[in-house]
Amino acid sequence: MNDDKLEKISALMDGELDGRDREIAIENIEIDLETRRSWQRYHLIGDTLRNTLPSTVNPDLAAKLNTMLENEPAILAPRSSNRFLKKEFLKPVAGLAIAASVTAVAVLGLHGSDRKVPGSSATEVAQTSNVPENAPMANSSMAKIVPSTVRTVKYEPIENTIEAQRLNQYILNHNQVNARFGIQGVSPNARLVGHEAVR
Amino acid sequence: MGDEIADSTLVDRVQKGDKKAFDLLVLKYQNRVVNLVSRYVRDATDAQDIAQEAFLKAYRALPNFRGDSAFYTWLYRIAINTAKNHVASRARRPQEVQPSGPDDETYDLDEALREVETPENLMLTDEIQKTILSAIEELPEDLRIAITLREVEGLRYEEIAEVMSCPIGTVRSRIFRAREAIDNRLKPLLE
Repeated sequence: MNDDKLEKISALMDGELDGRDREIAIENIEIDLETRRSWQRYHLIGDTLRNTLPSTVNPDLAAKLNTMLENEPAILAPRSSNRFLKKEFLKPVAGLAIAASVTAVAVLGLHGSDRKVPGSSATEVAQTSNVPENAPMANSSMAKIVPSTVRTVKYEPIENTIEAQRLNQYILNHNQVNARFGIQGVSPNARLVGHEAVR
Repeated sequence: MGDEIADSTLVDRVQKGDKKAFDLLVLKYQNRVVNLVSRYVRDATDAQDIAQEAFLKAYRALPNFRGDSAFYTWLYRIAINTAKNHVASRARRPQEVQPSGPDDETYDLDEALREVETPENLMLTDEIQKTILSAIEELPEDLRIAITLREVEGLRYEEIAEVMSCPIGTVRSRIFRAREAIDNRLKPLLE
Protein backbone atom coordinates (compact mmCIF):
# COMPACT_ATOMS: atom_id res chain seq x y z
CA MET A 1 0.00 0.00 0.00
CA ASN A 2 1.03 3.56 -0.66
CA ASP A 3 3.14 4.76 2.29
CA ASP A 4 2.34 8.39 1.63
CA LYS A 5 -1.38 7.62 1.87
CA LEU A 6 -0.91 5.75 5.16
CA GLU A 7 1.32 8.47 6.57
CA LYS A 8 -1.58 10.86 6.00
CA ILE A 9 -3.95 8.46 7.77
CA SER A 10 -1.50 8.41 10.68
CA ALA A 11 -1.40 12.23 10.71
CA LEU A 12 -5.19 12.39 10.44
CA MET A 13 -5.69 10.33 13.59
CA ASP A 14 -3.33 12.68 15.41
CA GLY A 15 -5.33 15.67 14.18
CA GLU A 16 -2.32 16.95 12.25
CA LEU A 17 -3.80 17.08 8.77
CA ASP A 18 -5.31 20.23 7.35
CA GLY A 19 -8.19 21.15 5.08
CA ARG A 20 -8.41 19.29 1.81
CA ASP A 21 -5.79 16.68 2.84
CA ARG A 22 -7.98 15.78 5.78
CA GLU A 23 -11.04 15.30 3.59
CA ILE A 24 -9.08 13.19 1.08
CA ALA A 25 -7.66 10.99 3.85
CA ILE A 26 -11.16 10.41 5.26
CA GLU A 27 -12.48 9.52 1.81
CA ASN A 28 -9.60 7.07 1.37
CA ILE A 29 -10.54 5.23 4.56
CA GLU A 30 -14.21 5.19 3.57
CA ILE A 31 -13.64 3.67 0.13
CA ASP A 32 -10.67 1.41 0.72
CA LEU A 33 -11.16 -1.58 3.03
CA GLU A 34 -7.43 -2.09 3.59
CA THR A 35 -6.99 1.55 4.64
CA ARG A 36 -10.00 1.19 6.95
CA ARG A 37 -8.30 -1.80 8.61
CA SER A 38 -5.12 0.22 9.07
CA TRP A 39 -7.18 2.99 10.72
CA GLN A 40 -8.68 0.38 13.07
CA ARG A 41 -5.33 -1.20 13.93
CA TYR A 42 -3.58 2.16 14.45
CA HIS A 43 -6.24 3.00 17.03
CA LEU A 44 -5.89 -0.41 18.61
CA ILE A 45 -2.17 0.33 19.06
CA GLY A 46 -3.00 3.64 20.72
CA ASP A 47 -5.56 2.02 23.02
CA THR A 48 -3.05 -0.61 24.10
CA LEU A 49 -0.36 1.98 24.82
CA ARG A 50 -2.77 4.12 26.82
CA ASN A 51 -4.09 1.06 28.61
CA THR A 52 -7.67 1.75 27.53
CA LEU A 53 -8.19 -1.67 26.01
CA PRO A 54 -11.14 -3.62 27.47
CA SER A 55 -10.58 -7.07 28.94
CA THR A 56 -11.95 -8.57 25.74
CA VAL A 57 -11.50 -7.06 22.32
CA ASN A 58 -14.34 -7.79 19.98
CA PRO A 59 -13.13 -7.21 16.43
CA ASP A 60 -16.70 -7.57 15.13
CA LEU A 61 -18.30 -4.74 17.11
CA ALA A 62 -17.96 -2.14 14.35
CA ALA A 63 -19.16 -4.58 11.70
CA LYS A 64 -22.24 -5.46 13.80
CA LEU A 65 -22.97 -1.82 14.34
CA ASN A 66 -22.64 -1.14 10.63
CA THR A 67 -25.29 -3.78 9.96
CA MET A 68 -27.59 -2.11 12.49
CA LEU A 69 -26.93 1.31 11.00
CA GLU A 70 -27.93 0.09 7.56
CA ASN A 71 -31.55 0.33 8.72
CA GLU A 72 -31.05 3.82 10.09
CA PRO A 73 -31.83 6.78 7.85
CA ALA A 74 -28.91 8.94 6.82
CA ILE A 75 -28.70 12.16 8.79
CA LEU A 76 -29.32 15.30 6.82
CA ALA A 77 -28.75 18.00 9.36
CA PRO A 78 -25.86 20.11 8.12
CA ARG A 79 -24.46 22.40 10.73
CA SER A 80 -25.13 26.01 9.99
CA SER A 81 -22.27 27.59 8.07
CA ASN A 82 -22.90 30.99 9.65
CA ARG A 83 -21.84 29.96 13.13
CA PHE A 84 -20.16 33.31 13.49
CA LEU A 85 -23.51 35.02 13.13
CA LYS A 86 -25.08 32.72 15.68
CA LYS A 87 -22.39 32.85 18.30
CA GLU A 88 -20.67 36.18 17.82
CA PHE A 89 -23.52 38.38 16.69
CA LEU A 90 -26.89 37.00 17.68
CA LYS A 91 -25.97 36.17 21.27
CA PRO A 92 -25.13 39.76 22.29
CA VAL A 93 -28.15 41.12 20.39
CA ALA A 94 -30.44 38.57 22.01
CA GLY A 95 -28.85 39.37 25.37
CA LEU A 96 -29.46 43.06 24.81
CA ALA A 97 -33.08 42.45 23.88
CA ILE A 98 -33.62 40.32 26.98
CA ALA A 99 -31.92 42.93 29.17
CA ALA A 100 -34.06 45.66 27.63
CA SER A 101 -37.22 43.63 28.19
CA VAL A 102 -36.32 42.95 31.81
CA THR A 103 -35.55 46.64 32.37
CA ALA A 104 -38.85 47.62 30.77
CA VAL A 105 -40.72 45.23 33.03
CA ALA A 106 -38.88 46.56 36.07
CA VAL A 107 -39.55 50.19 35.13
CA LEU A 108 -43.20 49.53 34.37
CA GLY A 109 -43.55 47.49 37.54
CA LEU A 110 -42.10 50.23 39.70
CA HIS A 111 -44.22 52.80 37.99
CA GLY A 112 -47.30 50.66 38.40
CA SER A 113 -46.73 50.24 42.09
CA ASP A 114 -46.59 53.99 42.59
CA ARG A 115 -49.66 54.91 40.63
CA LYS A 116 -52.85 53.34 39.66
CA VAL A 117 -52.66 52.73 35.93
CA PRO A 118 -55.74 54.13 34.23
CA GLY A 119 -58.11 51.61 32.87
CA SER A 120 -56.85 48.81 35.03
CA SER A 121 -60.31 47.80 36.13
CA ALA A 122 -63.73 47.77 34.64
CA THR A 123 -65.05 49.97 37.46
CA GLU A 124 -62.55 52.68 36.69
CA VAL A 125 -63.48 52.61 33.05
CA ALA A 126 -67.10 52.99 33.99
CA GLN A 127 -66.38 55.96 36.23
CA THR A 128 -63.98 57.80 34.00
CA SER A 129 -65.38 61.16 33.08
CA ASN A 130 -63.98 60.97 29.57
CA VAL A 131 -66.12 58.01 28.73
CA PRO A 132 -69.53 58.88 27.34
CA GLU A 133 -72.42 57.99 29.57
CA ASN A 134 -73.99 55.73 27.02
CA ALA A 135 -70.76 53.85 26.25
CA PRO A 136 -71.45 50.11 26.08
CA MET A 137 -68.84 49.33 28.74
CA ALA A 138 -70.74 51.24 31.41
CA ASN A 139 -73.78 49.11 30.95
CA SER A 140 -72.05 45.90 30.14
CA SER A 141 -72.26 42.83 32.27
CA MET A 142 -68.52 43.12 32.88
CA ALA A 143 -69.05 46.31 34.85
CA LYS A 144 -71.83 44.74 36.84
CA ILE A 145 -69.91 41.67 37.99
CA VAL A 146 -67.08 43.59 39.58
CA PRO A 147 -66.89 42.44 43.19
CA SER A 148 -67.83 44.94 45.83
CA THR A 149 -64.44 44.66 47.50
CA VAL A 150 -62.75 46.41 44.59
CA ARG A 151 -61.76 49.88 45.68
CA THR A 152 -62.99 52.61 43.41
CA VAL A 153 -60.17 54.91 42.41
CA LYS A 154 -60.67 58.14 40.66
CA TYR A 155 -58.79 58.31 37.40
CA GLU A 156 -55.72 60.48 37.64
CA PRO A 157 -53.90 60.88 34.36
CA ILE A 158 -50.12 60.72 34.55
CA GLU A 159 -48.75 64.18 34.41
CA ASN A 160 -46.53 65.09 31.55
CA THR A 161 -43.44 65.03 33.69
CA ILE A 162 -39.86 64.48 32.54
CA GLU A 163 -40.13 61.00 33.99
CA ALA A 164 -43.18 60.17 31.89
CA GLN A 165 -41.54 61.54 28.73
CA ARG A 166 -38.41 59.50 29.31
CA LEU A 167 -40.41 56.36 29.91
CA ASN A 168 -42.40 56.94 26.76
CA GLN A 169 -39.23 57.51 24.69
CA TYR A 170 -37.65 54.39 26.20
CA ILE A 171 -40.59 52.19 25.24
CA LEU A 172 -40.67 53.62 21.73
CA ASN A 173 -36.92 52.95 21.30
CA HIS A 174 -37.31 49.47 22.68
CA ASN A 175 -40.06 48.64 20.23
CA GLN A 176 -38.07 50.02 17.31
CA VAL A 177 -35.10 47.78 18.21
CA ASN A 178 -37.41 44.79 18.55
CA ALA A 179 -39.03 45.49 15.21
CA ARG A 180 -35.63 45.83 13.48
CA PHE A 181 -34.41 42.43 14.69
CA GLY A 182 -37.77 40.75 14.50
CA ILE A 183 -37.74 40.12 18.24
CA GLN A 184 -40.88 40.07 20.25
CA GLY A 185 -40.48 41.36 23.77
CA VAL A 186 -41.95 40.02 26.95
CA SER A 187 -45.43 40.98 25.86
CA PRO A 188 -45.84 40.21 22.19
CA ASN A 189 -49.44 41.39 22.21
CA ALA A 190 -48.59 44.83 23.54
CA ARG A 191 -46.37 45.99 20.71
CA LEU A 192 -46.58 49.67 21.57
CA VAL A 193 -47.30 51.07 24.98
CA GLY A 194 -47.29 54.71 25.86
CA HIS A 195 -48.14 56.96 28.76
CA GLU A 196 -49.51 60.31 27.87
CA ALA A 197 -51.69 62.61 29.80
CA VAL A 198 -55.25 62.81 28.66
CA ARG A 199 -55.74 66.02 26.87
CA MET B 1 -6.48 19.15 20.82
CA GLY B 2 -5.85 18.18 17.22
CA ASP B 3 -7.81 15.02 17.77
CA GLU B 4 -10.95 17.08 18.13
CA ILE B 5 -10.47 18.70 14.73
CA ALA B 6 -10.50 15.27 13.07
CA ASP B 7 -13.58 14.31 15.12
CA SER B 8 -15.32 17.53 14.21
CA THR B 9 -14.67 16.89 10.50
CA LEU B 10 -16.08 13.37 10.81
CA VAL B 11 -19.12 14.60 12.73
CA ASP B 12 -19.73 17.26 10.08
CA ARG B 13 -19.67 14.59 7.41
CA VAL B 14 -22.10 12.35 9.31
CA GLN B 15 -24.43 15.30 9.78
CA LYS B 16 -24.39 15.81 6.04
CA GLY B 17 -25.51 12.25 5.43
CA ASP B 18 -22.18 10.40 5.26
CA LYS B 19 -22.87 7.24 7.27
CA LYS B 20 -19.40 5.82 6.64
CA ALA B 21 -17.83 8.68 8.53
CA PHE B 22 -19.63 7.39 11.63
CA ASP B 23 -17.96 4.01 11.11
CA LEU B 24 -14.60 5.78 11.42
CA LEU B 25 -15.68 7.26 14.74
CA VAL B 26 -16.82 3.83 15.93
CA LEU B 27 -13.49 2.26 14.97
CA LYS B 28 -11.69 5.03 16.81
CA TYR B 29 -13.70 4.93 20.03
CA GLN B 30 -15.05 1.37 20.31
CA ASN B 31 -12.39 0.05 22.68
CA ARG B 32 -12.40 3.14 24.86
CA VAL B 33 -16.20 3.06 25.13
CA VAL B 34 -16.30 -0.66 25.98
CA ASN B 35 -13.55 -0.10 28.54
CA LEU B 36 -15.50 2.79 30.08
CA VAL B 37 -18.75 0.82 30.20
CA SER B 38 -16.92 -2.12 31.81
CA ARG B 39 -16.56 0.00 34.95
CA TYR B 40 -20.32 -0.14 35.37
CA VAL B 41 -21.07 -3.71 34.31
CA ARG B 42 -18.91 -6.69 35.03
CA ASP B 43 -20.12 -8.91 32.23
CA ALA B 44 -18.06 -8.44 29.04
CA THR B 45 -21.00 -9.34 26.79
CA ASP B 46 -23.18 -6.75 28.51
CA ALA B 47 -20.43 -4.17 28.12
CA GLN B 48 -20.26 -4.83 24.38
CA ASP B 49 -24.05 -4.62 24.05
CA ILE B 50 -24.20 -1.37 26.00
CA ALA B 51 -21.38 0.12 23.94
CA GLN B 52 -23.23 -0.87 20.78
CA GLU B 53 -26.44 0.71 22.08
CA ALA B 54 -24.56 3.86 23.07
CA PHE B 55 -23.13 4.23 19.57
CA LEU B 56 -26.57 3.74 18.07
CA LYS B 57 -28.01 6.38 20.40
CA ALA B 58 -25.17 8.71 19.52
CA TYR B 59 -25.84 8.26 15.81
CA ARG B 60 -29.53 9.04 16.28
CA ALA B 61 -28.76 12.06 18.45
CA LEU B 62 -26.07 13.46 16.14
CA PRO B 63 -28.46 15.86 14.38
CA ASN B 64 -28.76 17.64 17.73
CA PHE B 65 -25.01 17.64 18.45
CA ARG B 66 -23.90 21.23 18.03
CA GLY B 67 -20.26 20.82 18.98
CA ASP B 68 -20.51 22.78 22.21
CA SER B 69 -18.41 20.04 23.81
CA ALA B 70 -15.88 17.66 22.27
CA PHE B 71 -17.43 14.69 20.48
CA TYR B 72 -15.77 12.15 22.78
CA THR B 73 -17.04 13.96 25.89
CA TRP B 74 -20.55 13.83 24.46
CA LEU B 75 -20.17 10.18 23.44
CA TYR B 76 -18.79 9.18 26.85
CA ARG B 77 -21.76 10.86 28.52
CA ILE B 78 -24.15 8.84 26.37
CA ALA B 79 -22.23 5.64 27.14
CA ILE B 80 -22.24 6.29 30.89
CA ASN B 81 -25.97 7.08 30.90
CA THR B 82 -26.72 3.96 28.86
CA ALA B 83 -24.69 1.86 31.30
CA LYS B 84 -26.40 3.43 34.33
CA ASN B 85 -29.83 2.81 32.80
CA HIS B 86 -28.87 -0.79 32.15
CA VAL B 87 -27.76 -1.27 35.76
CA ALA B 88 -30.96 0.40 37.05
CA SER B 89 -33.24 -1.72 34.86
CA ARG B 90 -31.40 -4.86 35.99
CA ALA B 91 -31.98 -3.88 39.59
CA ARG B 92 -35.72 -3.32 38.97
CA ARG B 93 -36.20 -6.58 37.06
CA PRO B 94 -37.46 -9.52 39.15
CA GLN B 95 -34.87 -12.19 39.75
CA GLU B 96 -34.88 -14.63 36.87
CA VAL B 97 -33.82 -18.23 37.00
CA GLN B 98 -30.49 -18.32 35.25
CA PRO B 99 -29.74 -21.24 32.98
CA SER B 100 -26.87 -23.24 34.38
CA GLY B 101 -25.49 -24.64 31.17
CA PRO B 102 -26.11 -26.69 28.02
CA ASP B 103 -27.75 -29.48 30.03
CA ASP B 104 -30.35 -27.14 31.41
CA GLU B 105 -33.59 -27.15 29.40
CA THR B 106 -33.84 -23.36 29.48
CA TYR B 107 -30.31 -22.90 28.22
CA ASP B 108 -30.39 -20.31 25.49
CA LEU B 109 -28.10 -21.21 22.63
CA ASP B 110 -28.26 -17.70 21.17
CA GLU B 111 -27.11 -16.34 24.48
CA ALA B 112 -24.13 -18.65 24.37
CA LEU B 113 -23.32 -17.76 20.80
CA ARG B 114 -23.33 -14.06 21.46
CA GLU B 115 -20.87 -14.47 24.30
CA VAL B 116 -17.96 -12.14 23.80
CA GLU B 117 -15.76 -13.47 26.54
CA THR B 118 -14.95 -16.63 24.64
CA PRO B 119 -11.58 -18.30 25.22
CA GLU B 120 -10.65 -17.34 21.66
CA ASN B 121 -11.43 -13.67 22.23
CA LEU B 122 -9.67 -13.63 25.59
CA MET B 123 -6.63 -15.21 24.01
CA LEU B 124 -6.77 -12.80 21.10
CA THR B 125 -6.88 -9.79 23.41
CA ASP B 126 -3.92 -11.12 25.35
CA GLU B 127 -2.01 -11.75 22.12
CA ILE B 128 -2.77 -8.26 20.83
CA GLN B 129 -1.41 -6.67 23.99
CA LYS B 130 1.74 -8.80 24.08
CA THR B 131 2.46 -8.26 20.40
CA ILE B 132 2.07 -4.49 20.56
CA LEU B 133 4.13 -4.12 23.72
CA SER B 134 6.93 -6.31 22.45
CA ALA B 135 6.91 -4.52 19.07
CA ILE B 136 7.26 -1.19 20.91
CA GLU B 137 10.25 -2.55 22.84
CA GLU B 138 11.94 -3.51 19.62
CA LEU B 139 11.53 -0.14 17.95
CA PRO B 140 14.54 2.11 17.42
CA GLU B 141 14.68 4.67 20.23
CA ASP B 142 13.68 7.72 18.16
CA LEU B 143 10.56 5.96 16.88
CA ARG B 144 9.67 4.62 20.34
CA ILE B 145 9.99 8.02 21.98
CA ALA B 146 7.99 9.72 19.22
CA ILE B 147 5.04 7.32 19.39
CA THR B 148 5.07 7.25 23.19
CA LEU B 149 5.01 11.05 23.41
CA ARG B 150 2.10 11.10 20.99
CA GLU B 151 -0.03 8.19 22.19
CA VAL B 152 0.71 8.11 25.91
CA GLU B 153 1.51 11.75 26.67
CA GLY B 154 -0.87 13.15 24.04
CA LEU B 155 1.62 15.74 22.79
CA ARG B 156 1.10 17.52 19.49
CA TYR B 157 3.66 17.17 16.68
CA GLU B 158 4.94 20.66 17.35
CA GLU B 159 5.59 19.84 21.00
CA ILE B 160 7.23 16.52 20.16
CA ALA B 161 9.46 18.33 17.63
CA GLU B 162 10.56 20.66 20.42
CA VAL B 163 11.21 17.81 22.86
CA MET B 164 13.12 15.76 20.29
CA SER B 165 14.81 18.77 18.67
CA CYS B 166 13.82 17.85 15.14
CA PRO B 167 11.52 19.23 12.42
CA ILE B 168 7.77 18.55 12.56
CA GLY B 169 8.01 16.57 9.31
CA THR B 170 10.47 14.21 10.98
CA VAL B 171 8.09 13.72 13.92
CA ARG B 172 5.25 12.89 11.54
CA SER B 173 7.44 10.38 9.70
CA ARG B 174 8.77 8.76 12.90
CA ILE B 175 5.30 8.29 14.33
CA PHE B 176 4.07 6.78 11.09
CA ARG B 177 7.06 4.42 10.84
CA ALA B 178 6.53 3.34 14.45
CA ARG B 179 2.87 2.57 13.74
CA GLU B 180 3.73 0.69 10.61
CA ALA B 181 6.38 -1.42 12.38
CA ILE B 182 3.90 -2.38 15.12
CA ASP B 183 1.11 -2.89 12.61
CA ASN B 184 3.21 -5.33 10.59
CA ARG B 185 3.36 -7.54 13.69
CA LEU B 186 -0.29 -7.02 14.56
CA LYS B 187 -1.84 -7.59 11.15
CA PRO B 188 -1.46 -11.40 11.05
CA LEU B 189 -3.30 -11.71 14.38
CA LEU B 190 -6.41 -9.96 13.10
CA GLU B 191 -6.68 -11.47 9.65
